[in-house]
Amino acid sequence: MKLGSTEHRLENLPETVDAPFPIFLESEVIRGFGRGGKQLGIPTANLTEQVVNAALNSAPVGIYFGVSRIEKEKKVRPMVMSLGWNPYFRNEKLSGEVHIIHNYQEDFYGEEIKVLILGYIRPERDFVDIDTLVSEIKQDIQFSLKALELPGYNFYSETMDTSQQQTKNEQNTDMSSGLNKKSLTDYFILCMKFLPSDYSNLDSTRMVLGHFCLGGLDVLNTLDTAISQQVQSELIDWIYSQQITSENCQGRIENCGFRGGSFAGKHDTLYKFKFANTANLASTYSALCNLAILGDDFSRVDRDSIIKALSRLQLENGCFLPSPGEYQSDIRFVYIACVISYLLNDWSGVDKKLAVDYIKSCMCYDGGITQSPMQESHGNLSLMGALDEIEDLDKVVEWALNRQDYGYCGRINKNRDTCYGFWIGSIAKILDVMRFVDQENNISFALSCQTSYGGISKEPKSFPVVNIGISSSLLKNGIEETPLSIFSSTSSAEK
Amino acid sequence: MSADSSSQQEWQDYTIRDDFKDVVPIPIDDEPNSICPIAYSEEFKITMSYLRAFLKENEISERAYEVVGHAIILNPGNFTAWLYRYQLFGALGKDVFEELDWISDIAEDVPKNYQLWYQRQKIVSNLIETKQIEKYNLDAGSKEGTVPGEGNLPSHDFQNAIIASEIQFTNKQLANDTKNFHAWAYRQYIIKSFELWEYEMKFTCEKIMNDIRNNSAWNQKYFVLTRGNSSEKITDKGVLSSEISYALEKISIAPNNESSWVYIQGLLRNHCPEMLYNDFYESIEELKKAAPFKSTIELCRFYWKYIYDRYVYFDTNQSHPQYEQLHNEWFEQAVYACEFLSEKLDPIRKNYYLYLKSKITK
Repeated sequence: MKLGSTEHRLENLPETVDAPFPIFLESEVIRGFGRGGKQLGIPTANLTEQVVNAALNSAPVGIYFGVSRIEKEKKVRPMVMSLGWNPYFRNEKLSGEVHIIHNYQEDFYGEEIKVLILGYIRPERDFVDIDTLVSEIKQDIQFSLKALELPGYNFYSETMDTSQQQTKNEQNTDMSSGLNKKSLTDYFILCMKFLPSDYSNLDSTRMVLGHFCLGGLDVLNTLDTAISQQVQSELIDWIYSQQITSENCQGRIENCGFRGGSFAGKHDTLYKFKFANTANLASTYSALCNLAILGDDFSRVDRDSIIKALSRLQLENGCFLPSPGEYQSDIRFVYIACVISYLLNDWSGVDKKLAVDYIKSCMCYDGGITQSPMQESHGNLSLMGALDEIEDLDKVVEWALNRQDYGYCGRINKNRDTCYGFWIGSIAKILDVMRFVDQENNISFALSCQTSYGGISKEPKSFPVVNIGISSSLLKNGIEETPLSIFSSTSSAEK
Repeated sequence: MSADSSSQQEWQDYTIRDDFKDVVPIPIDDEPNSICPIAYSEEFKITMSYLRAFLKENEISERAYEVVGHAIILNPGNFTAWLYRYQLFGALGKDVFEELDWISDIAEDVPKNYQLWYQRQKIVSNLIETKQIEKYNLDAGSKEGTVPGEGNLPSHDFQNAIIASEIQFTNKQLANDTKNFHAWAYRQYIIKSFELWEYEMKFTCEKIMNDIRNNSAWNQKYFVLTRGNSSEKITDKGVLSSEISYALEKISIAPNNESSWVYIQGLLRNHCPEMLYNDFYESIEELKKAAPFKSTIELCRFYWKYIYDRYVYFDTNQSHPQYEQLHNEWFEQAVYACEFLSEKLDPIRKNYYLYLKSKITK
C-alpha cells in the first residue's frame, strides 16, 4: 500500500476510491482532549481507542477525508479526520478525531457515529503555532469538499445508507487488491494468541479454531512473515502435546488421535471415566492439517493408532462416530475420516465401500447432499459427499450452482453467507465446474463482508467470525491455488 | 455463544462449599504458545477443574451431576461432559421429564448446538429399546398428551407422554426458527420411530402454507411421503398426481420459488420419470392457459430449465410417441431456453447455460 502525500493537490488523488479505501468505521463519540472546539474553533468527534486501532490496521497515521453521519441526525456530511498521535499536542495516546464539516451548535458525546474514509490528504506534522495549524486544517476542509465533488468520489456523499453503500463499495473495490491481507493476517494472529470468553463454547475444539487461523495465514501466504520459526516450532510442540498415543492412551486405543485442547487435563491423569480424555476426529484432522501447514514432517504422529481408532469409529452403515462413546454420526465425519486417511496415506482404517454407500444414501431429491439420509440438502455437507461415484452428478452441479444469487447460500431459499463461497466453491472446484461460477460477484460479496475489526463476517455489516475468515481468503485467492488446507486434501483424497 | 450461568441461577463457588471440601480440583494445564487460548471466566475455570476431578474418580453423585450440568451450560459443546451427564442421569435414576426440560432450557440459548439434540435422541431411543417407553402411555383423553394446535393445525392427542413432549418441543423450536436443521432432523427421528405420518403431513403442509419458501418443510413433505426411507418407491400414481396438483398450486402462487420446483421434479424423477415429462408438462400447459399465469411462468427460470431437461430426456430415451414429429420443435425450444436463461432470466449462471446449450445438437 502506497500512500503518497497528496498535500492538498487534487490531481494527486486516484481517479476513484482506491484500496485500502473505503474504510468504514463505527464508533461511539467519546470525550477527547477537550481542545478541538475550545482551542481551535474546530470541534471534533472522537472515536474509541478500539476503533482507532482497527482503522490503523488498514491505514497509517495521517489526515484523511471522507463522509460521516451522526446516527441521531441521520444526515451524511463531509468530514476530515486525523488518525494518530497529533504531535502538536504531544499526546501520548492514539486518537481518531473526526471534524464534521457543518456548523453544529451541540456536541455528540455518547452518540453513534459512522465514518467512511475515502482518501488520504497528508501526513501529520508538528506545527509551530495554533494559527498555522488552524490554517492547515482549513485547507484540509477545502480539499475534502472539492474531492467529494469529483466523479470517482461524489456518490458517497449522496447517501450512506448501509445497503446502498455496500453495493457501491463493491463496485469500486479493485478486485485484485480488495482483500485487506494485512488486517486479515493481524486478525488471524490475534485469534491464535487470544480469544475472548465468548469462545468458551468452542473450548473442546480449539485445534479446529487453530486450523482456521493457520489455514487462513497459509492461504494469504503470510504465515512465515507473521510467525517466527521459533514460535512455529513451539506451536508444533503444542499440537503434539495434544496427541493421545498408544503410550498414553491407558489401553484405550480407540481414544487415540488428537484432542481439541487441554480441557481434559494432563495425559498422565488416570481417568476412571473412560471417555474423559479422548481424541476426536475433527481435532485429529485439524491437527494434521496444522502440522502440514507448519511444515512438520509427521515424524511424531502415531499413525498406526490413529488408523486403528478410525476403524473402530466406523459404524455398520458406513458412517463414522466423531469420538468413542458418541451418539452422533453423520457425513461430516466420513469426510474427515477420508482426509485423515489421505494425509497419513493409509486407507486401512476405512471401509471404502461402506463409506461410499453411506454417502449415496445421503443424496437428496433436489440434487444436493444431506448430513444424514432424508434430511434437507446443505452446502457444507454437499462438499463432503461430492464424490465421483454418485450417479447423477449433473444434478449435484445444478444444485450447487443454483445456490448463488450474488454470494452463496447454503440451503434453498436461505440467506447468502460468505462461508458458502468456500463450501459451494469447493464443490464446484472438485466437480471441475469453476468455469460456471460467477466469481466476480462471489468475491465482491465476500469483500463486502470485511469488517473494520480485521476479520470477515457472514453477511455485510456484522461481526467477524474466525471460521469465516479462512473461507473467504481462500475464495479470494481464486480457489485455484492449492494451499495445504481443507479442500485440496479432499479433492485428492477422493480420487 | 456460551450461556451465562447468572441467567440460570446464582452460582455458588465450589471452592468454598462445604460439600465439596474433599474434592481436589484439577486445574487447566496449558503451556505457553498454545493455540487459540480462551480467556475463561473464573466461573468456567473453577467448574472445569471440579469436573475433571469427578471424571478422574468417575464419581456417581448428586454433586457431580450438578457440576457437569453447570459445565454443559458454560460450554454446551463439551461432548465429554454430555457423555458423563448421560451416565449420571441413568445411574442416579433421574426423572426423564426433568432431564428433557433441562435440555429444552439449553436449547433456548443454543438451539444449534449438536450435542443437546443427540442427548435427547439418546434418552428417547434408550426408552424405546428398553421398552420403558410404555410406562409413559396415557389413557385416552388425558390432558398430558395433548399438543396444542397451531394455525390451521388442530390440537392433537398423543397416547404417550414422551411422544407428546417431543412433538411439543420440536413444534416450539420450529416456531422459533422454522428452518432449524437440528430440530427437523430430530423430529424426523421421532416421526419415524412412532410412525406419526398423518400428523406430520398436516404439520408439514401447515408450515409450507405459512412460508411457501420454507425448504425444510418441503423436504419434510418428501420424507413423510417416502416414510423416511430413501429406497422406498412410490408406485401409486394417484399419490404422485395429487402432489403435482399440490406443487403447481404453490408454483402458481410463487412461480420463482425454487423449493416447489425442485420438490416436484425430484419426487417425480425418483419415482416416475415418465410423469415428470408428460403429466407434469401437461399440467403446466393447462395452467398457462389461465391468464395471467402464462406471462408469469414464461419469466420463470425454473420453467425454462425444465423445458430444457424435458428435451434432453426425450432425446435420450426417444420414448415419446410423437418424438419424430416434435423433435425439431423441442430442440429449438431447448436452445431458446438456454439463450433466454443466460441473457435475460439468470445471467449469473450464464456460462452454465451456454455449456448446456453446447451439449445438445439437432
